[in-house]
Amino acid sequence: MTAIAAAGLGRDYGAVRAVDAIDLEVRTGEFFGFLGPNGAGKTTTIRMLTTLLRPTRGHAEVAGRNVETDPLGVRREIGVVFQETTLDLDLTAEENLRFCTRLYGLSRKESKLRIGEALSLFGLEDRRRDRVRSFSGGMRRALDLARGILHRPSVLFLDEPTLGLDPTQRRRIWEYLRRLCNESGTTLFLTTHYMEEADPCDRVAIIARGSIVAAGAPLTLKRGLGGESIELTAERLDGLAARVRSLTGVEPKTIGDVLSLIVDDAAAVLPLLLPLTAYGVEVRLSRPTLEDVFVALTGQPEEPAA
Amino acid sequence: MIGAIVAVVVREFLRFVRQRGRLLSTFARPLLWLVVIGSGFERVVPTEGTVSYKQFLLPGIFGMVILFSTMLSALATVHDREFGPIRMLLVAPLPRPVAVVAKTLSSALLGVFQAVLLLPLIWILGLHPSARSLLELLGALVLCALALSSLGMLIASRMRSIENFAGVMNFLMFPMFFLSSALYPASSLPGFLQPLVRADPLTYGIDLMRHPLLHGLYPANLGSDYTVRFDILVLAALTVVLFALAALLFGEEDHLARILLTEPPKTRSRAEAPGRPPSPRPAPIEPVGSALHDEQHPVAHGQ
Repeated sequence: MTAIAAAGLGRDYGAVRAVDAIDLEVRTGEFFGFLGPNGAGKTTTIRMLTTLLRPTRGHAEVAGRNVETDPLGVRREIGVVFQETTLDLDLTAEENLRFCTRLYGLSRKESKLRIGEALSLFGLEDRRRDRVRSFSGGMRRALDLARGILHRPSVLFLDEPTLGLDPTQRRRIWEYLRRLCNESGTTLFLTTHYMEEADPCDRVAIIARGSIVAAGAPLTLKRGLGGESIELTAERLDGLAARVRSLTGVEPKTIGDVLSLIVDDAAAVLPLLLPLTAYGVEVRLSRPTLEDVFVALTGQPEEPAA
Repeated sequence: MIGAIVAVVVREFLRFVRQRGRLLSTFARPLLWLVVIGSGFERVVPTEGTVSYKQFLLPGIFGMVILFSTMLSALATVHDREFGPIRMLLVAPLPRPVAVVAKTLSSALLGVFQAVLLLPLIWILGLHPSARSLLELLGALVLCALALSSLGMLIASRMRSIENFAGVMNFLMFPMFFLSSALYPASSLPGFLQPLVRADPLTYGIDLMRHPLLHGLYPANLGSDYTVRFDILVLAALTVVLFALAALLFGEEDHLARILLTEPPKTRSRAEAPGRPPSPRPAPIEPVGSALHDEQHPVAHGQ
């Protein structure tokens, strides 16, 4: 079963090509991560899939319905959690949720039941009558998520659900999403520009400058890099790249103030680099991350000039 | 669809009641005008009939309350579209115009509600309308509010950011108020202003309210300028046209895209704020909120 299918999907804004022409296929019940740096076209893609933006070219189906010819059908099947919170800060948690159940025309009884469920799921029962203004960023985000699933969508879109949260809160949100996917069979489509976060996803697609540059399971993508990554740091990097190349025969990549080297067998390469430590160069071995995948594919760090 | 309209109306009213400042200004502004302007003008405007200047001013005050309320609601819509529940409305399984209907209706109802809170002024100023006159007044309030909230939505549909608020205030709300017959009979304004007076929806709204309120009195120079039927006709026509335009423009795809794509500056500052995430480690699953409770996170959301 396919939850999301896109073929040649693209969008221009005037002369600017925000999304080139992407192909996507997300299976039902899959936890799908859509990764890319800021401005790569993630939000534009989500907006096209959620019927907020009409594609300039290509076509897309969500839950078997065409986003252009049957937008209402699509909207009936989806839940959306926006990048920016959509909560009313002057309303209580419960009132915010009730806005949503009314919007979807749930009966009073059903609404009460689901609001209770959602609040307890997020551990917010004892705050149900408190105004959202008094909530921490993490609690607000949790409430946003609760609102997105109140009507039990079959596909849930999340645009940077962990943006602005601290690491602990971020991990909680991800754990919850993983569980939601496993237990209710909801298809999750989420974007993030934190590459390392996407490890729990079943599959990811990486978008850069409006095009998908890689897709697959996180592990497969990392393996695709051919093994291990060696990082070198030094006070001065100039000249180091050339030395490394001559010592190992591998072309290193400069990422910020780190020199990165992807090799098949680190055990064979590391001894070659040892002479460098005498010049104050630090050598570190690391497993490739999704960020390494991204860098290898696009030749740039995840957030250029951030 | 009804559910969505109810949802928006309930939300607007809850927000109104929660924001004390708004509640307070509902009373403060009109009373200030009534007492200060009313007392001052009373001495200047000659009264020939049995209607006092303050009695003449009262419908103008109701009109002002509705004008300010509906315009504020419209501006809030601009903000909502960027940050608020309007977005939820746009991804809910509802045809686009429903969002506009819900917003227009809730903004009109909120305006009427605020005017109704000020109804006791009728008796304080020594007027004694019949039950029928009161009902007619209510009808006039509703019609006036619908026309103005449709106008507000039309403006909101074209506005990109709430920063233009001062402009709307200076170039729309105040002229509309002064050009209407709120403070003086419209006919007393000079000829070159008459086209503007006639183009002002508030003129007809206030004129219509004046009919039942001053019913049975002899207003002489301080009465209505138009007939009831004409007022109703103009207000109804304005509502239909302005609303249709607003619904059309609000749903217009490219415009919507432009607005939705105006990345609010907050996004950027927030995106930069958090450090790099730690590598995710498997941890026992418990309710997400539990650990989030104690952490005060300084993310400011303006709303």
